[in-house]
Amino acid sequence: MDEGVADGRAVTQAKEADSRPDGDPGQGIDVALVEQAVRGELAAFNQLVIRHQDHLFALVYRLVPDRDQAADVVQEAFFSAYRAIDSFRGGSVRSWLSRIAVNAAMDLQRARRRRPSQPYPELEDESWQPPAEGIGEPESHSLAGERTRALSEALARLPFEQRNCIVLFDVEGYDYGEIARIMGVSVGTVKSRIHRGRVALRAILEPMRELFRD
Amino acid sequence: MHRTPAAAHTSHDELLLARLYGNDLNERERVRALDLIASCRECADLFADLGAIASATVALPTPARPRDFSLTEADAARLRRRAAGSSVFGLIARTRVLGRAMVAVGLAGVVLLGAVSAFLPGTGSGQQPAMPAAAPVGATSGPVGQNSSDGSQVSGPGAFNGGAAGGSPVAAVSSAMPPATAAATAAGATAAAAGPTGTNGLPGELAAASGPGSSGETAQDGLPRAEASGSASKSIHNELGPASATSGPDLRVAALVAFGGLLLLGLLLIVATRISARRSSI
Repeated sequence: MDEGVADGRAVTQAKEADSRPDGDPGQGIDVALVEQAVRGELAAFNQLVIRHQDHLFALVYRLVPDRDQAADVVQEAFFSAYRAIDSFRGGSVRSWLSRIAVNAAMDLQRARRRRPSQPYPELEDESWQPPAEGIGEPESHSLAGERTRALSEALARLPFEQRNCIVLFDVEGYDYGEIARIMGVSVGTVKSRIHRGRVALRAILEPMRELFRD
Repeated sequence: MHRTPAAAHTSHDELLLARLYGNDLNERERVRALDLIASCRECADLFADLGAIASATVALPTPARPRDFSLTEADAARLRRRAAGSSVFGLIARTRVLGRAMVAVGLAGVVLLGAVSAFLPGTGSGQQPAMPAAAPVGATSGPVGQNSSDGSQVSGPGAFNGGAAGGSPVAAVSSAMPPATAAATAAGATAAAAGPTGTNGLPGELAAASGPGSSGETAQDGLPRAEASGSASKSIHNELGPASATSGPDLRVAALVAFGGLLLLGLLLIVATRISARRSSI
């Protein structure tokens, strides 16, 4: 397998030079890797995994704020992508993978809504702290940590439909139409969820509004 | 700048400001939203907060991913098997749809045939009690009705009717039924009719045959009709002959068998697809 990965890297480097489509600089490489993966090269698929796993984990973690569950969702998303690699019909591989990951996250969210358990154990875990944003003043570092915690808790309290839309719009930068396609709802519904979600988020965070003011 | 009192803010449309932030307003709404921001401190704060929260959301840190998500050879082999299974599953799913359609058509056919037999005038045994028990037999013969040996007219196809062989009171009026009734009933009740008398001659005919207008509760001789049948029923049956075996009942029986078969086949398909789907998911 290592040998395969090395081969994949060689292919990656070879393709990287001549493929830089607009918008997504790695798109050409991704498409080449997908073609190789369709032919059955696991190494090529694993190159895709390596290229996108950080982004997908960051995305899913915002939708499912539990590290273990988010990791499971990402793994399941890559499994699904591997199974459905033949069905890739062009376009952005990154968006395609994101869509699969968001769908996997929504499946988990729906299942959790059907069988509610401890909603977000991550937030209850006092030992966990978000990674440092960089070295700075201890006071500002503490403030940033507090803000992160408050915002994470507030996001977790939103209905997952609203949370997903806000994350996809603000963090992922998808437009309303793309989010509507990913979530399988109308554009109007997406807009409504985003606007209502923002107002709800602000209402939750109102007592801590000073945290968000520079 | 004029500022509205904070109490007035409760009547302001917060969603309008959120839509302004999301650039989702027409020109008129935009003017109204900007006016709110300019005139209401709370609205201005809300709009500023929306921006600050959105920025903080973008900057929200995520913990480092806990593991590498690369697929192993074992994963790939398992997923390839599953992918093959899923294409089989697609076929199974289509088969299941076909099975459901067959069940639906079969069930509808059976129910429809049952309903036709039960409710349409002159087809079902369910109509029989509504028939006048003492209807003048001689006046109600069907098209193939023939005179019995004693001169009373016996209905044609209706002569095979009777539903409950062996002396049911209902059977007594079967001779008064229109031919269609008898025909339909024959489809469902022929087997029963062959019971106690050992022939297809049923009490109904007997009552009718036993004398003019004698379609009452018992035969003219006062005996229960089943007992009164005897050779009379045979003779009537013989007289009616093949003319009484219309094609209507046969068609209905054939349709019933066809729909029943469709229903059964559909059920079998559904069960089979479920079993194979369960096996492929293991």
